[in-house]
Amino acid sequence: MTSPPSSVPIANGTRRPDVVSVRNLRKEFDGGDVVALDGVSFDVPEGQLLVIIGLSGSGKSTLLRHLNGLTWPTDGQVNVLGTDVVRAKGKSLRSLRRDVGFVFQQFNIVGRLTCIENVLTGALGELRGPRLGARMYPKSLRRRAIEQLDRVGLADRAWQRTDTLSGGQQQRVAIARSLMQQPRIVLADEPVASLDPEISGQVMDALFQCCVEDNITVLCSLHQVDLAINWAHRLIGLRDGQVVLDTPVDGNLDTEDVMQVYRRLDPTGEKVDEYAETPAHALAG
Amino acid sequence: MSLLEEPSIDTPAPQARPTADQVPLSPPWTRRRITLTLLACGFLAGSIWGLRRVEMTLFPLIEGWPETWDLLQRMWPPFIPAEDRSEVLQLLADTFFMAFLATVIGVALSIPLGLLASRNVVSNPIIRTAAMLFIAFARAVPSLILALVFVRVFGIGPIAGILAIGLHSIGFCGKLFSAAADNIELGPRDGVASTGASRGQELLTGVWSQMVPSVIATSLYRVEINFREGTLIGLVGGGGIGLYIRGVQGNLRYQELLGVTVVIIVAVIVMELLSQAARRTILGPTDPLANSVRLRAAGGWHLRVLAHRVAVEASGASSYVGYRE
Repeated sequence: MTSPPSSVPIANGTRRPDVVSVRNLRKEFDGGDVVALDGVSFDVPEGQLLVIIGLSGSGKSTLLRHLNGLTWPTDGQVNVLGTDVVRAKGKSLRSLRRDVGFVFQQFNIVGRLTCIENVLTGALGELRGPRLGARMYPKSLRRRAIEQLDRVGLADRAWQRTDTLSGGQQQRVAIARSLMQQPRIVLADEPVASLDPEISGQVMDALFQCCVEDNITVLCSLHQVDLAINWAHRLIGLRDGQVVLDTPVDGNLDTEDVMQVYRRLDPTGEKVDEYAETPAHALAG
Repeated sequence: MSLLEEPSIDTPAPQARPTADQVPLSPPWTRRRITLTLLACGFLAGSIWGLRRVEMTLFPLIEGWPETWDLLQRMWPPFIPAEDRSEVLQLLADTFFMAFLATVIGVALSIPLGLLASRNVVSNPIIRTAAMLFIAFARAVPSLILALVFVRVFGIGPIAGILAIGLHSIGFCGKLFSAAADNIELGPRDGVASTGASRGQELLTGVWSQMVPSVIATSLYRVEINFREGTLIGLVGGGGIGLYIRGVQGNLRYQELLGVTVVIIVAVIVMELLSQAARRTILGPTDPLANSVRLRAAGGWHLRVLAHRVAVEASGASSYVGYRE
């Protein structure tokens, strides 16, 4: 289960086989009124920790949801672990999802279930037939679930209802659920967007630490550039559904380039482009 | 599957922003607002028209007051003869178990039907509509009519009443169960699906586990309703306390009629207390109906406090820690 921890950053020099390959991905919503992704292409080698940054609405979530078939593209190819995600359905899609963990911004755990039940959900793909309650899972899986909870520091909460936990703890349960899948890739969609900065750091550490230990490739969308730079091997910046930045994270990283991704922000934090025609003083009257 | 898609991303802002003095001070007359206003006017007009109708029929009631008074006098005081008392208690117990069994039957049939009728479970609109129609049919046919049919088949007795009330329960439970399945959060379900779970696994872990509190609350509430229905079902031969009512009413024994009515009222209140205590014990603070207007209307605060105390005692202490931060 655990391969030796590799702390070697996978930058440009060391190429490993690609596990994710996205080509000219395009996604329209509302019959073309909204273009969420506009010709996105990139490859991710195995073991890389890739962080995707960008404004809200820049297409980060939509991009990640394409990678395990939670959303279908309007056009383009998505290849994950050798599977054509766009064509995959039914069994092949489920077997792909077994290898791809997903950590959601809203956690998406079942609050009424206990922590261990939520983590055991990650093993459903290995089992046949529906399960209700931890006792319907074999003891070996229950042990593994507790081990995963222990890795995120919540083994003592195993039999507690998940909605009695704090937000950061709930997200760590969700991470444990992903790890329970023994995935080869983890997709994390703004995993700390609803958490405070300190907790965010702890959650990101837990996520990246475990993934590095298990040699899991991570694609993580983030708002906080500083959290991204701590762990990431590589940064991709999205703006209006297009890749505007793709750079390894090393000593040469230009912070100015990174901030360019957020170019549309004015000092008040509002998007300014749409209202450019109306001068500010006209709003005062 | 398309449910897993994000509904939409942020809608783009309007092209030109109106100035502050261009923004109207009254809400705009959207199509929806016009519809709602017309509906409100319709209700008002209907009420006025209804009032005019009722006024015409109210006069006979006033004119016939002496007869009403006479009837009330013959009813007073409520009384059940000693030789009938054990029979009434037996029939009351029958009624309780009839309500219980009818709810078990109704809920067992309503769970699959409710799931079949839910947009979140079945994507085929034909199956969904068929399940919905069956549920609506069960709701539309009164249990007394159903009991008349079943009494023909099974003869006078509790079985006819149980089946009649049970089938009629589907109309209520099936509807609420399908609503519960429709109203689950889609996020946790996505979470389960994203682990590579099969459709059945996704339904049980992602959908059903979110429905459970609502199913329990609905079923307990239905036991109460079925008890009330069970008190009447005997009038048409469906068993239970209604059989006694039928007997005394047929023999014009008005004091007994009022007496058994009082017994039923007390029994119904006790049932509600028991049901609320059970709800509190099972669901605790997760009860979706906990603070609903219905409970307030049904119990009043003192009953709820009493029920709560019973529940706390029954659940073996106030060891329950606050469930949400």
